[in-house]
Amino acid sequence: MTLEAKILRDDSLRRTSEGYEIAVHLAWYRSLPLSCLESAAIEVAATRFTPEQVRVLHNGKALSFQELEPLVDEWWFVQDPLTLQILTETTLEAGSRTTLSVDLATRVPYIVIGPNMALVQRSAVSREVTVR
Amino acid sequence: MSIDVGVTLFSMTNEWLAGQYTLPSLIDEVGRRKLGPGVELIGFQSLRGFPNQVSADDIRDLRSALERNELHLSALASNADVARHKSQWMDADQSVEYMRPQIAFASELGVPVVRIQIGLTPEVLEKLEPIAAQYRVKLGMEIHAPEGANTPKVMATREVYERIDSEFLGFIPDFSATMRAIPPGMLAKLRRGGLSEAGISALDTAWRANGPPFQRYSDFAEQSRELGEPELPVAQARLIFTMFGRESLEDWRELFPRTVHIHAKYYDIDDMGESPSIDYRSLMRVFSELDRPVSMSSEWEGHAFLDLEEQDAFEMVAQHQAMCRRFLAAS
Repeated sequence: MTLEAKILRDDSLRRTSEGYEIAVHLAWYRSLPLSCLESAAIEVAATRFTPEQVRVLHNGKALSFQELEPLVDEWWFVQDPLTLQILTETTLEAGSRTTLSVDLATRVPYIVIGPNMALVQRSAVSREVTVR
Repeated sequence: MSIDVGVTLFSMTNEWLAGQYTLPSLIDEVGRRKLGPGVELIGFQSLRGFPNQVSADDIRDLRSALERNELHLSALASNADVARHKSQWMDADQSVEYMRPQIAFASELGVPVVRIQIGLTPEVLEKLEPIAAQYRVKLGMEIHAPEGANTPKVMATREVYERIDSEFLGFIPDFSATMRAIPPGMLAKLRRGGLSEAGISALDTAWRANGPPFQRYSDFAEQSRELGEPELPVAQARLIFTMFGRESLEDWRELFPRTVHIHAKYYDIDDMGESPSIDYRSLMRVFSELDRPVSMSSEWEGHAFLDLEEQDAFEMVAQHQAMCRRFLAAS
């Protein structure tokens, strides 16, 4: 739990005309550049979305994790949520309860654990949420 | 007593991440509970836009919160972030330019010490020294697990320090380097994640073994596969080998001539007023030998495995400061 406990909140899942938006909090104690978010997989209502299917909404753009890689000067402030987007034709009604799971991989750019290897923090969390 | 006991706001990470406080209200609470007067903060944790784009309003609010609570900033923690780009790590010049605005920010706020990290190479340190001297800020390299006072990386830094011999280059001993046990709360977290008692035992054995952290972790991970342990707690256990070190605490004396600040790291305090994972009685005995006043931040990191509802960080800091003062007085 702990850092993981804060990743998802009760109001994290929002239904849109195209699918869902998921507000996630950083699973680390300090702000990190967006380039350090390596991947996120999501499961909503027993449907799994791979990192390739997930986009990060930033400055009005929907970015893949590959597109985050060069964003070394764009910051994810530690008290702010980041919005992830998944596209799906079938969504739950607003107000319904469901299980939301997120599996984040975040590179910690100052913890070097081996030759040319930085720590990649894995955080997998699930919680019951109300669809907004 | 040659140690000025204070606090780092890192101790209140749970409260901070939950959004319970703004920076001024957090400082007010530290003041109200008398946990100062020295306050350390992490630039990339406490300040939006750090280091180049912190708003003038935020700086003004920080200053006035410190002033009304009669607190002062003892240290500002910087980060080196050498791997911020996955495949193109920073070279020496890029590292210097990454550090420069962080040092300048500390200077602007009148902070005497900037915590720097062990990832900075001798070449970078040589280039940073004139910048630190220009800004009149002492750079304190945090000696954190898995390093210790005389591990090879630190010895390389000590040699550079001796050669340059500048008052602006120093060390910050962090007690994570000299631990006596994996914190019980961390093991409880891994048990909750599904790690078996055989897995816990393999972990403890690997942690106590000799060798580089990544090698010891690999040995544990391989054993875990043989034991059929679930993947997630095994992946999470990787941190243990970098967070908790087993160097000798007596060796901290070797760094005393250049010690500019201290990180009094801890995870737990038991009913007897002792810390099970870190030997504070011995640490305070050793550090009481310092021949001049040095600031020390109470740095609770139990939030790595305890939730907000499970532990009030302010209370933990108060208990820790009382423990340190008790052992210092007895030394």
